[in-house]
Amino acid sequence: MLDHATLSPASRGLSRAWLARRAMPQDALWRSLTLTLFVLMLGALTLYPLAMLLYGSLSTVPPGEAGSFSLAGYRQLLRWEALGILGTTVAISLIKTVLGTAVAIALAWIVTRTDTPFRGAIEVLVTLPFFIPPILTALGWAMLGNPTAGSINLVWMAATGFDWPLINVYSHGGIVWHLMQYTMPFTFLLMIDGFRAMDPALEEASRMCGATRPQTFFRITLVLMLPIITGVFILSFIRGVEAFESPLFFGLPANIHLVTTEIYRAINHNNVPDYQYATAISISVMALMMLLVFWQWRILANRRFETVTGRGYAPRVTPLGPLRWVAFGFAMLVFVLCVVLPIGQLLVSSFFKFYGFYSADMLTLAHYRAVLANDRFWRSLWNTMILGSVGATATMIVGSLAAYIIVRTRLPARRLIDVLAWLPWMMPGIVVGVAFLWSFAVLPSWLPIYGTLWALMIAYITLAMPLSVRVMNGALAQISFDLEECSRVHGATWLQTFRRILIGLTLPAFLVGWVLTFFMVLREVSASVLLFSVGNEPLSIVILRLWEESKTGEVSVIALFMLLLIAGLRTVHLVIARRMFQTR
Amino acid sequence: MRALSVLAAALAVLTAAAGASAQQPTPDQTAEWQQVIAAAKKEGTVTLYSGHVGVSYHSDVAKTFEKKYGIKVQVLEARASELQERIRTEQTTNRVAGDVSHNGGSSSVNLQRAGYYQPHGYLPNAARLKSEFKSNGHRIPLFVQSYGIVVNSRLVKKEDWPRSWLDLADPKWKGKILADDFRALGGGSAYFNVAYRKLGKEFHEKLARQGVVFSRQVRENPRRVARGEFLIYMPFVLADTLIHEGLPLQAITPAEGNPYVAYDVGVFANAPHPNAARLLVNHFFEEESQMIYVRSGRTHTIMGLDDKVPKEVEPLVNAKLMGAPDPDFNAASMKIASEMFK
Repeated sequence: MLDHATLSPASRGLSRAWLARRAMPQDALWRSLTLTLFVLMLGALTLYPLAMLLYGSLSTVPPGEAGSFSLAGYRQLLRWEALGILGTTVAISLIKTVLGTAVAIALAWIVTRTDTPFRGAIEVLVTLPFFIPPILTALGWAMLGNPTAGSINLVWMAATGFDWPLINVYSHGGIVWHLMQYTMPFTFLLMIDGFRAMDPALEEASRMCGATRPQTFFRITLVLMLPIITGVFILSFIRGVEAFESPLFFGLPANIHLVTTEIYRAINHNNVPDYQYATAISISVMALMMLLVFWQWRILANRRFETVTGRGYAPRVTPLGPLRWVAFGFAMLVFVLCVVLPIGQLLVSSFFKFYGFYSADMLTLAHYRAVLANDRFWRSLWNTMILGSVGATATMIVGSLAAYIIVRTRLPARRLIDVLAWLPWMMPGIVVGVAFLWSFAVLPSWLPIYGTLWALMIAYITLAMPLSVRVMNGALAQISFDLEECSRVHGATWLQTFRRILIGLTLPAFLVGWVLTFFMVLREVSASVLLFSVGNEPLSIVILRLWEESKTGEVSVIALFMLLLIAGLRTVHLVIARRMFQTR
Repeated sequence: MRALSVLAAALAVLTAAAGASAQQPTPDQTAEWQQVIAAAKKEGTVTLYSGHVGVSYHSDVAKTFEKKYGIKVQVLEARASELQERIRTEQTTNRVAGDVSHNGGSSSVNLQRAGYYQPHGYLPNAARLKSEFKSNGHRIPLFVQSYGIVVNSRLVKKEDWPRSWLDLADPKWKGKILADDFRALGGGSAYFNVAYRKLGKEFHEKLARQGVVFSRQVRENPRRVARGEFLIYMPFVLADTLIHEGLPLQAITPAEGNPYVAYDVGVFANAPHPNAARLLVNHFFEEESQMIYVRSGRTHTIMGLDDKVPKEVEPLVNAKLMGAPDPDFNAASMKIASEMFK
């Protein structure tokens, strides 16, 4: 058997190619056909909607109508109003990323590098908001921070006697604050392993040279983590530009428009929908995303992991003294603000006739009765379960196949597949929604996807594909080629090897990816809002509709149901992740 | 003179008899309708697109329909502008998912003019419509909804309540008026379409100087007034008085009367379930369906229910009316509103 590790890089490449040839089915025609079909399918999921988006930005008429072509949509982008919207979006995303990442760095440092009590519990609690759909926390904060009826302001005015509110979520600050609640756990999760892996000797050396704790933190810890922080920062900034729920809930009522809500408004809120403008904005946002992703790739490509040295080290922590309780209080404050307050508000609102009117005569169970008797709720719950389970399974299968080709073969098409699988990363949900709206509307009548559950399913698979490919890439890259070879040497067919070795060993990663994709489906609003039709609404759309109909009590009840579902899924996620960790 | 009276009475009887015989279905119509019912049951489902959001009566009527015919009703509620675009996309790409349209008068007229309705054909209950609410062959007025003013009854003294629309121009209300958006399809544009023609440009210029704040959250807006965020909300769906019971709100019908909108129903062109669609449209004009609207504070459009209006909703159902929007003035009215209310 070949010793893969001892081969020179050149011969290792040859060996991989040889293995790849051995690992693929013998029938070259069948292989080519399968590969072509797979590439075509990826193209249909990514390139076709993109092409339709471009077509839409040039077409003078809405989908389905005959018209001419012009650059009017792009000309509209040059208006001060449109440029202002783009500027506001970038500014808000930048501010929330700076603030959110700063808090996440502090939390990651507290959890990994200090002797703060209950660090294990803190780690679990502060990551919770990552798993709660933003639409639910938006509902909670809309009822907490409304300038006149918000619970925080009611308590503030009752306690102080002032007649002005303490906070107003319908503002730029409100959008930033709500976006931060997702940024903090997101960046925390991406950075924590880097903090954990850092050799404490570097910090100790700094302290021994006379540096204070803050000096050590800023000059050593932070500087060493800078490559990771930069990568995470760009990723988070991209997510900020793509965000839909925060500007929808807190921006539109205050007449603050960001790119995602501007696309939505141009299609759904205008007397005559302006598709050309909406698609032109979508294209420009994608161009911005592309620049950012390339910048991120450049940074990641040049990063150096000098935080982990070859030397063995003991995972020691910095003693904070009495300040450790301050650190603990800070972490708990984040948890209370991001989880306890919004969920508590949803719970309270579910028992009152109208939110903001909290007197005994307004107490009611009517909202629970209404939700349980609401066909739309049950139908959307069923739709969400179907979309979540089938969508997550399909996405993970597509992602696994793509990752297999990218990581474990030398096929010329693998670079193309890599790019196609990455493309949706640069497409905000609302852009995917617009692109598929056009794509499905112009399909021939024998392919009736428009207005069906398939429309949502295809959009979700596209949106979640980069995640599934990344998860499976990581898992497949860790499996030695020797195992496959060993299996083949012992007489196993390619299919048996694939099933018993590759699927067997990557199943935990597949399941983690599946749960994460299911979470994505649960939280997805921006593409769904353009693609849903009667009878196939997911739960998030029913929540949004009920909110627009001002049925806050019923919305709160459904939100609580959804949270229970999420708690169950998160438990499954943790159990799988723990087993994965133990297996390794 | 007596002979004349007798002649007049005889003529009246003859006319009534002739009318009655005209309203009696012919055997062909009866047979056709039986075929419609049978075909509708085979279709098994029907989809209603409604631009009237946040109300419970769609599902109430749907339940009575499902119980009677065993045909499932699916309802999609969306704002008028969003619904109009959804219908346009479906119709132009020949992917029609909706069967029955339920929309405000202006939207309905737009949809019919665009060719998105098909003739509803013979409907047994069409004969029951009041003379002022006859079908035009495509659209039938289902109920009438009127729009007044609502004030915070805890913060505004009774003697200060506006009694006329013109009172809203009083400087004491500056910065205290919340309104449904006059510039977008919906109750706000319906009000402006009527009021601009009836109350004039000058009044609305004064109103614009009052710093009116627009919000399209039509069900939430009265609650903002109840909380004291604003003192007045207009145009207020008078029937919503019932769903805000317990809140410090007082609905007012001004001296000039309320602008009103007739909500129409119609069958979409190329509806996937055309028979179930006709059956549902007909069902909307059954007494039990119309009484659901009456009990929600809206005015019925069929004969024979005037005496059956419950006492508690009489002021809402029989409120004085000022006028309905002119569909031909709609686009111009929204343009004027956009220029006047920046």
